[in-house]
Amino acid sequence: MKLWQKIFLCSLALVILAIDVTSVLLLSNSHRLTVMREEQNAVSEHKYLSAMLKDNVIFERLRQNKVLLSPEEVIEVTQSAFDPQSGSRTVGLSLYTGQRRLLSYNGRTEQLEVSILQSASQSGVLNQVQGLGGYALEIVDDGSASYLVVISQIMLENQPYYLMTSSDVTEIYTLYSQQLNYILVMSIICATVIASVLLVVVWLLLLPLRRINEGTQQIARGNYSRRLPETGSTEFLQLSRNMNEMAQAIEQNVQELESVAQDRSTFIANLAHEMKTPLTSILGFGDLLRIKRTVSDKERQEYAGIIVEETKRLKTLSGKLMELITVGSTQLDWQTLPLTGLMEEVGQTLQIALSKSGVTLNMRVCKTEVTVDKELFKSLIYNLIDNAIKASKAGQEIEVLAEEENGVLTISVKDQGIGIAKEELPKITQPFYMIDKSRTRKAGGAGLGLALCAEIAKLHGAKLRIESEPRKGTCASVIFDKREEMR
Amino acid sequence: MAKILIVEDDVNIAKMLEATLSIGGYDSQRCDNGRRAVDMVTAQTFDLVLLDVMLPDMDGFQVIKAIDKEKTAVIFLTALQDVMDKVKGLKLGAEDYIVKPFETVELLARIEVVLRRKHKSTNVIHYGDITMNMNEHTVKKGEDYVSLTPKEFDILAFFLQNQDIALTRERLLATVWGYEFVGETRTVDIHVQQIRKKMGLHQKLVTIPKLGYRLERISE
Repeated sequence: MKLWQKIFLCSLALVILAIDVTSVLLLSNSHRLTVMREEQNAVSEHKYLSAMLKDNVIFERLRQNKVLLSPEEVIEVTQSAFDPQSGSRTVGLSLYTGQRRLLSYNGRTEQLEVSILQSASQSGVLNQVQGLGGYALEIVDDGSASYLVVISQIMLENQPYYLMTSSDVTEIYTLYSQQLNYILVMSIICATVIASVLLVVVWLLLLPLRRINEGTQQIARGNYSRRLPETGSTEFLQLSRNMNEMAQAIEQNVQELESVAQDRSTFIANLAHEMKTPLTSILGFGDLLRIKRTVSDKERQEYAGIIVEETKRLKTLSGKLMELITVGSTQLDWQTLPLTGLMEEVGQTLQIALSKSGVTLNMRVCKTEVTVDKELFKSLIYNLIDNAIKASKAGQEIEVLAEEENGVLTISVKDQGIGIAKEELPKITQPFYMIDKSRTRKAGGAGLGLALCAEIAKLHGAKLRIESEPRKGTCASVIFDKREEMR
Repeated sequence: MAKILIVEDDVNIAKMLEATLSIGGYDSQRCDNGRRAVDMVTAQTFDLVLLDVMLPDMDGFQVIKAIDKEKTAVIFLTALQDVMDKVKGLKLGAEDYIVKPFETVELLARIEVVLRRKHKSTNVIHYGDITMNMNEHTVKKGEDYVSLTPKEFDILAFFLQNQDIALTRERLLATVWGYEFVGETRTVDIHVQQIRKKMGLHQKLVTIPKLGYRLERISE
């Protein structure tokens, strides 16, 4: 069952129940009061009648001057008292002795009276009414009319008699049932009106929920940029806001994943390109050497030279690639080492490249210790200096500076080489990105050096910052925040 | 002789293409930049352009738009293997799309096909006293017609188009029978025997051990 149906049905049922219960309670209370008043009337009338009977009997006895009147005389006397009492509801009046009916004013209730008397004597009510002042009340229904019957015992001339008066109370019960019917009709009308109003109210109240539902469905279908309108009551507002926050988080994650996937596919496309270029030359020249009928010595040397050169390029590429892959996946071997020693080791390995290119290297390293993975750190510094050498001409200088200030260690490699244009700077750490392909290849690069540096710096929690000006030189700095490392 | 422009920014590949084209008997020029390539194609007439996609200044897709495809055929030569790139290249009017790396003979065969389609290639090949008419599908030795099976005809044509080049059995199988053909290289040997016998090429169509066959050029 839908929520709006539940809310609708529950509130409708509750409202109707409340109305009906209240009105039925009110009605039955007023009915009860009416019946009570009627009973009091009937009882006082009954008492008045019985007193009048007694008076009449006494008066007659005094008039005849007898000690006691015989039962026959009593009946005679009482009969005269049985005049219709106008203005009262009393419709029946009878006098019994035992089960015998002595007098009756109204024949209508005769049958009833007999059955009442029987049931009263059986249930022992008659015993209760014995004694002066006691009386019993009974409401009987003969199918067409209701009567309120009062029975009491009176002593006339030392003889016990039962006096029975009955009054017509049909009207009260008719009114009661009429009013019950009225309540029924009214409650049906009320139900219809309330139902239609409730329907509108519930629909309006749940409108934001429907909007939220529709919005979340769209989000679920992949429209992650969709946001829910933040309207409606507080709960819906809260819900929409939470949903929006969730959608935003999802959108962000999806974008990140997409960009990772994009980076990866770009990486693979670039890798394929970088591998295929040397392979094309190798295959082509190899094939030429194989299928040509005559190959001159000069040609053979040139072809074989290119094959060797391109094979070396592939070797560099695969080496750097392996490095890049292992950097991302191997367990780091953290060691705390003196920086000077590390830098000197790197300087040593670069000696040959330096002397070949005629570039001088100046190192100024402060005395400090660093916690790093030795091989990776060396690779990082090596790559940065190697880049500087490749960018420099013979006779130029490369300055390597390491200084520590307030726990922040900055190692910078500064050259006076060709520099990098401003718009190229953000792209240079992307794998395979080469500003000048032919230059890079001539220098034996694969376009992976800075990507590797950036990766190593990231693993060490360091920042790689590159500043450059075309034709003036480049300064690449690695910034270790040792204070953060401590934490 | 067909004139071919090589547009390739990798020097070694460009050199390789030049050498390959020279053994195919083509006249070629080199260019390593997209913009210059457009200038060269508008200034001179080339029969064919071998065009790399990734080029400095202007990429291959931009270059091909500037080329008059009626006059000059274009073959893309690229490391990009994406089908969408291939479709894009062909839609822009390229005659063929060759993915690097490729074998020398394959490149020559594809160039041959493209040039023939463009009617830039000779349809009648002369070799000594042999005359081969590609359009009529006939072979004459001297004045007499020689009857060859379709496969023999194709093999002979392939040899005549690639004179002085060693052709491997696999290459012959791939070219004449198609890549799907699953057969023994012995089939090639039998056909070559037949051609030698029918055309009297015992001296010129030589066997190269462990490689294949070569039809030697007749020096004029």
